Amino acid sequence: MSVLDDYAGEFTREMERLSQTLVLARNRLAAAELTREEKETIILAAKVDMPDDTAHALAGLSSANSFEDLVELSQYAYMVAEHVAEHDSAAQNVRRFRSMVLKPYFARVDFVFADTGEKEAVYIGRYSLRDEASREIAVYDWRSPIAGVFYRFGTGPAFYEAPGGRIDGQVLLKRQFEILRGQLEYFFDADVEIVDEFLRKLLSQNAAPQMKTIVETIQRDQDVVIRDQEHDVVMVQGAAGSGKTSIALHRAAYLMYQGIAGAGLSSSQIVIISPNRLFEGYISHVLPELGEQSVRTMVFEEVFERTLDQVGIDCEVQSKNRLLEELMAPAASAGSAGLACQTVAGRALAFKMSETFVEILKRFVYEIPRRWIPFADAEYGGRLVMSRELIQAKVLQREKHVPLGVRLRKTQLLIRQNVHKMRERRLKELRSRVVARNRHPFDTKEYVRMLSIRESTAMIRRVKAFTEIDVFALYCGLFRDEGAFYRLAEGLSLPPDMGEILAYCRESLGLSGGEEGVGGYNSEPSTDRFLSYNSEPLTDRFLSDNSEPLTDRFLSYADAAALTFLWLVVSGHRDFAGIHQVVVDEAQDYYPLHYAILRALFPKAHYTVLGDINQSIEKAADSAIYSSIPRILGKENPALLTLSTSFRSTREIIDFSAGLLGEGARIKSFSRSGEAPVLSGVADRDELRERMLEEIEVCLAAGHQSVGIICKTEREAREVYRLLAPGLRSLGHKAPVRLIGADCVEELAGVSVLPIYMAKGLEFDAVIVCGVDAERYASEDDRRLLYIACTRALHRLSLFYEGEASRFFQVVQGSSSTEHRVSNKGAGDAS
Amino acid sequence: MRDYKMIYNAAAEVLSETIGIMRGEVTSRTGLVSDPAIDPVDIAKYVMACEKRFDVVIHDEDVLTFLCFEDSVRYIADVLFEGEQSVPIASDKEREAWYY
Repeated sequence: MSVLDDYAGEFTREMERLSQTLVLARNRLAAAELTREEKETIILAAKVDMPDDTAHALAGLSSANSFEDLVELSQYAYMVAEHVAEHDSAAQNVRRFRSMVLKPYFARVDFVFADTGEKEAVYIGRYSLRDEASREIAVYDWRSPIAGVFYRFGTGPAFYEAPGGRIDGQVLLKRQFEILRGQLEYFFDADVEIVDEFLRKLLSQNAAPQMKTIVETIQRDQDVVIRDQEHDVVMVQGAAGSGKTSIALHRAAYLMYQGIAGAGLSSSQIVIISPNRLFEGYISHVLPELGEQSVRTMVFEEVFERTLDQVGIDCEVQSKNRLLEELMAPAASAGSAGLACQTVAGRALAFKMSETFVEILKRFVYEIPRRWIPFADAEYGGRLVMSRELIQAKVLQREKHVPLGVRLRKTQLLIRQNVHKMRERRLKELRSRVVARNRHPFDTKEYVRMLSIRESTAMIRRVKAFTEIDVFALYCGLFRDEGAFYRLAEGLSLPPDMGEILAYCRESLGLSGGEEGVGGYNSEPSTDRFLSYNSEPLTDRFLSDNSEPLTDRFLSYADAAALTFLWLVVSGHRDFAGIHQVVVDEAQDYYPLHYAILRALFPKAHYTVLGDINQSIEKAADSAIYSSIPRILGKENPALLTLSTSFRSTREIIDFSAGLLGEGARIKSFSRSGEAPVLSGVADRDELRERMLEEIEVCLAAGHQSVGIICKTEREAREVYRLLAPGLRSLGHKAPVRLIGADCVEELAGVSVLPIYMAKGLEFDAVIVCGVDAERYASEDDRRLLYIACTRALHRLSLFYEGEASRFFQVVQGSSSTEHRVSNKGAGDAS
Repeated sequence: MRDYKMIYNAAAEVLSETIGIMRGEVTSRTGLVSDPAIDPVDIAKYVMACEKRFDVVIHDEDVLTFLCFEDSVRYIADVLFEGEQSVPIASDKEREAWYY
């Protein structure tokens, strides 16, 4: 406390220190700007020359010859690329130093080293700043080892892990600064981890349109996750608003910082699996703000499309959002207590995404070369190249760890090489036959070659029929042949209505009715005329016209996932061999099959998996997922950390939301209080509109910048949008009103109307949940949906229903009746 | 024959000679196997002429993958640059050669 007694004196000293640091930062900024400008001049000069050099190539770009013109252009681009890379790195430095000039650091730790007794005042900022002259570090990067002391320890004994080993010492002082535009406003000293007052102030601010960085307020628990480098899989079970996603991104930034030291990662080695594109846009600013390059984000649908594209299946894949709409819609319209898993579609989905089905698929892959591939003798020109038995033996004998697709390709190559050895002799035979018939005296050679091409084509097609796997046809076969299916499922526990599910799967694959189904996508119809020339009868099964086009087909989400898995395992692709760290957000929404796909995609990567079992949408999840995830991913060294403090919402909103989950749901709130949530009943749509417009008015007047109106499904969101939009416009608000539908990337400032599943992971200053009536929210799935919707709110939450309120609110009111400012009508109906 | 552009131009000449279309009409999208108007014997002629011109072997079983002209150029380039980058970056000198 002695320090605080002399606050004024300390303040002056800190001011001095700040101005010294700022001088340093400004110098570095000026230097970086100079470098950037130099590079810019070089690039601009190159660009000025470029049109002259490539004008004719540019003119050709729209013509049919565009390919080679593009090649020409790329030569020029390559020349400039090097300068651009240097420019970008300078520009990144400029960005960093610009932000440092405004706020060079946010914290200070005075650390006494145990071994030398030396004392150092460590200033911590977003990036490090070094005095080039004295080689001293003026500001330490928040990710540096010594900065860890700030996040993990109060005053007293402390230590940190440096590259050379553990360093012990004492923390004498912990101080946090508020610096605005280069001016020191105030500072706090504390002996706890992060000063509560400081955090509370930050949290009471409005939600930003994009996710913000949390470097200044990282909590001890969060820091443990961010800096973990020991475990292959780090799993985080975090309550809504506990900062899971922020942690994931800061962890990515930390791992990249480690890259400077050599052992860490570059941005191209990290991938984030995100739930949807809206979310992708929402988090896209965090890493640049932390001074790092953005890393790649991927949604699962993208993986499916990519894979199916490579397989050659050209069909529309059901998106996750559409799947959710379909699963939720019948329950909503029928008004039944319809859990998604009570419909056949829901049960089929649950089965196909389950660990049981993953196991069946694995067994299936093992069986493919043994039972399913129609191996045949390879013949060429009436001679045996390789017998059926030999071919199968070659495929089965090759190294076990080599994927089946690769083994088959190698076998095909072997057959081709043998054929090549036989070719010369075969050409001679064909020639003597043609000469004997004296049909083509003027172009005998060419005619013979044409015959050979035709014959070889027929040969290679027969060989391809068993060396190139038609994953889709095989997958269909699995469902068509029930005997095979049950053989593969032997010893596994199947759902009781397996027969019904199989029938449903066949129907959704278009296999019902017993016809041959689809297959033969790798036949090449346009080349068939070559084969029709052939006088010899062809036994090639690909010539029979069963190649129904897949173009108009529609593939369900689960089938797309299963096909992706099958293809990845069979083909042994190497597309993502460079990925070392995979961050999976909203982990509870993924099924075992998803994790099996991740394992196949990124076999060597380490994982950071973040989720909340209370926020799953269409399926119940429990803590068992955290034991199954590492098992499916095949990682032996997992760590599970729990974050139970929510920083997003006010205590009132957190208590209200936790009440929805029923008994045993314990979510700690950070002590920040606000208005109690309001649940109100309305008589009809007109009243709903009036009341919601009023509420929006109040929210905007209170200075809330983002208002989320959350509905159960996209269809409902559209209805509500239509209901509100004219009214809002006539009120003359400047805040934009928008409907957020499937996968549109938008900013969140203003009033947004969106379905619950799109709102996941996002946050709004104020949230209005509409239509929370008993019919719409009846099942256990619905309970979690309500929880998700309510926990999106930072400061203010209101809910509207027509008729009777959902039964889940009775629990809420029972458990914490005094705290809720429930309007009279709502209270009467609900209790 | 060190770069794609040269292979492309040379193959286009071969094609116009063997199939009897104007050199200026050959584009990367010009149909070969996919064009029913082209006699299969002419395609055999084109293949043989290419083998001679580029001193490569085009395997008979691969010919039917030449749906359009560009497919054949890529095939030849792949054979010539086997083990190298398939579309190598041209040096400045070579680039000059294209234009002047």
